[in-house]
Amino acid sequence: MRFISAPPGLQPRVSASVHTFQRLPALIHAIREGLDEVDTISFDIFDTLLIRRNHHPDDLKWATARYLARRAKAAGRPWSRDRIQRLRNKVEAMHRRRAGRTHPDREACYPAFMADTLRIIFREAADDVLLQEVTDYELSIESAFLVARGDLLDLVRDLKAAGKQVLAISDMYLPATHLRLLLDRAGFTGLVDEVFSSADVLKAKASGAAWPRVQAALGLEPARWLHVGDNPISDGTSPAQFGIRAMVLRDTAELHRYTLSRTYAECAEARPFWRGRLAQQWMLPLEKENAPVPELYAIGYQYFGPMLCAFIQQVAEQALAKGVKRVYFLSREGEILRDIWKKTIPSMYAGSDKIPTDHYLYVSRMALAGAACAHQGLSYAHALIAFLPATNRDFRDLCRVYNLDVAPLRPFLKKHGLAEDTPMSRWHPGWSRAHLVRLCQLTENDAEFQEEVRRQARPANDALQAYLTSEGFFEEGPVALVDIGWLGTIQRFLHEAIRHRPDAPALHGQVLACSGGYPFPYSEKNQLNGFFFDYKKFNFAGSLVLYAQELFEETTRAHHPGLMAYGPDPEKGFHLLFRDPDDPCSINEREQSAYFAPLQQGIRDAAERYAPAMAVLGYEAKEWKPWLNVQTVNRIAFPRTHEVEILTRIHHLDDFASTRDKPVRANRALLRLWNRPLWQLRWWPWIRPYHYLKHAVHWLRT
Amino acid sequence: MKDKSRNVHITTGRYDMQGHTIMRVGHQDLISRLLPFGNFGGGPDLKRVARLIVFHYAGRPLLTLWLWIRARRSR
Repeated sequence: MRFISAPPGLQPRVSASVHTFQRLPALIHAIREGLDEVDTISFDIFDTLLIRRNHHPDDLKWATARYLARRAKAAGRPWSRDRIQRLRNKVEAMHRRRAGRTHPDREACYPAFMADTLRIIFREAADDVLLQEVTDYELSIESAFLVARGDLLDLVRDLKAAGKQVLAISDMYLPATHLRLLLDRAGFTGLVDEVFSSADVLKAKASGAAWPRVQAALGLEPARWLHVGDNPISDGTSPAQFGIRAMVLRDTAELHRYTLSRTYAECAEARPFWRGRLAQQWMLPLEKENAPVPELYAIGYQYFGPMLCAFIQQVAEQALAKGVKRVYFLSREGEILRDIWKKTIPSMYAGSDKIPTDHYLYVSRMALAGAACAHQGLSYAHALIAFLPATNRDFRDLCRVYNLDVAPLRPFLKKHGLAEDTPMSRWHPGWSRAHLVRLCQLTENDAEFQEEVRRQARPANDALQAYLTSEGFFEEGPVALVDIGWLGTIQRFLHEAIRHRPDAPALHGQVLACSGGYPFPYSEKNQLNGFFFDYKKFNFAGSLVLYAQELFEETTRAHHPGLMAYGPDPEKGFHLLFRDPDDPCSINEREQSAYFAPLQQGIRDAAERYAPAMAVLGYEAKEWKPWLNVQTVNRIAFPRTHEVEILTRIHHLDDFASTRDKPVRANRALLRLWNRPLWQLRWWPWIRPYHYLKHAVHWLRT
Repeated sequence: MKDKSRNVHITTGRYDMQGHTIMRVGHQDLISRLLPFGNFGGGPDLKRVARLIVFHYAGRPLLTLWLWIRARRSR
């Protein structure tokens, strides 16, 4: 404990002690020790009761500047965020100068200077409602960046329980009502008796003018009053001069955190690499938020969360750029993606009048494959999709995938020299290229075969169209379709199923990764873009997500059973047929979902922090990529064995795949790092570089 | 399914990301000088990585020392 000497010009009127602490536990211990000697304890708010996730409070003003720029744009006033920020600073400085003429402190009051700022930007449209909305937005960002110091929260609870009077006093441009709101949101509800702000009467702690005001308002006795804060002058010397005991916390832990935040900000300014890392530094849980969590939660929070949030941000950026009014999230991965949308986009793009509406669409490859054949029949390209899973072997698998009855199709097979058990997948013994040539002739040249296919597929297609109509799919022009990846088969089938309609909307597909493993039918009304990886744009690090596609699917899959088909319904026109919950696959999926629930929770919680961080930083989604690439290389291509161990589960359901075992040849050829036994990952030092180089050679050749 | 996941703090005591610390970034940066890893937005820059390693690992004692020196000078 050391005495801090008063600066020149500030001579003590009444002697009182100032004690300085470098660790919070020591401060709390000292407060508890001296409790009998005080009746009132006042706390500074910022950097004492509440800490900020970032290092500089002024950074938060950028979020409001962006918000106002969007509001101004919507109102037809083209003000840039930089111009708005400059104006705000100018108006605030003017208010401070004006206050300095009549008061000892150059303080400003937010409602007053913000109202003036709004009047300049919006002119006659600036009213109290607008001011309230802007204030609410700024406070929401402030709240998101403020965290209560856990130990001080406990202390304040104990002080209240001991019957002490607890005050919060701040030199801040926000009035006391706003500060009270911030304290309540941080967890101090009902714990602070009075809140005083310099903004209300323009009297601050720094000059010492605040203390007589507080004393007069509450009738306090300075000798029985303890003040705690972080500023050696405002919270140390100044109250001590008034006879108030003062304790100053110069917390080295907090100083350490702020220094790191500042360093990351400097690095991010100079190198795009660090931008995602800076955002993640601001997203880190602090104080009591940082309780122990399952490792799966941590991985969801730190890796999958930011990646999916950046993906959703990209979806919103593209939708706004293309004038898309409806965004459809495709089941089942779409459920968590939609949750991320709800938690991030309305807040990140607050003030914009063009945010698309979000919808959830029940789809699956199984349900759409059949419906896609109702108008164009079964094309050869579609037929081959059925044989992408190595377990599918012959025409029976094709009929299962496209929901076709094989019996009426047998004569056509026979006509082309095929049988229902003729191997058509190269992984299976007996396969010959000639079989595929015959299949091609069957699908391309046999009109009667196609007629029979169309007849069988029509009810599912009618039901699908009825379902899409009920979801407003055909109402507002182009739509965005959001899915996790990879080949775009769902979008392909959906486009095929509706493209005969004159009101069919243009489909803007957005997937996390677009592998291009199978040719996609691009057209003006059928676009597909990958965010993290798109085979059309070379991004080698991004291609590494293809190492573990199943992992991304399993960790983001919704808990409801998969859709099996669209069935006709005389009243609604459709009904959705889901997989039987007692089906062994459904049981396995439920078990899997329960296992990955903490990871999904981590993703959702990351989204809560992503939005305010990005609202302040103002980065575009693509600025996250270098950092996400780094994490992907580390976590997917060079994972720790324990990471693979906890993330690799045995139940993965490919709805197109049959239940027969994968041929040995296919197993060997499709062996990936993440399918290797753990002992190999643990003991074979070259296994990761081997797979990495194998992957590199494959992608560089293709 | 046996859960082998342990409980961890997401923010480490050094204000780093658990599971993807600055040391892992530095390690990868060294490897990336031998193996091409792809687009890292100009890379992390070894000097910055070194600076961050120092701040994460030795930041608190250094700041304590700095505060102590400042306090002694102000007496």
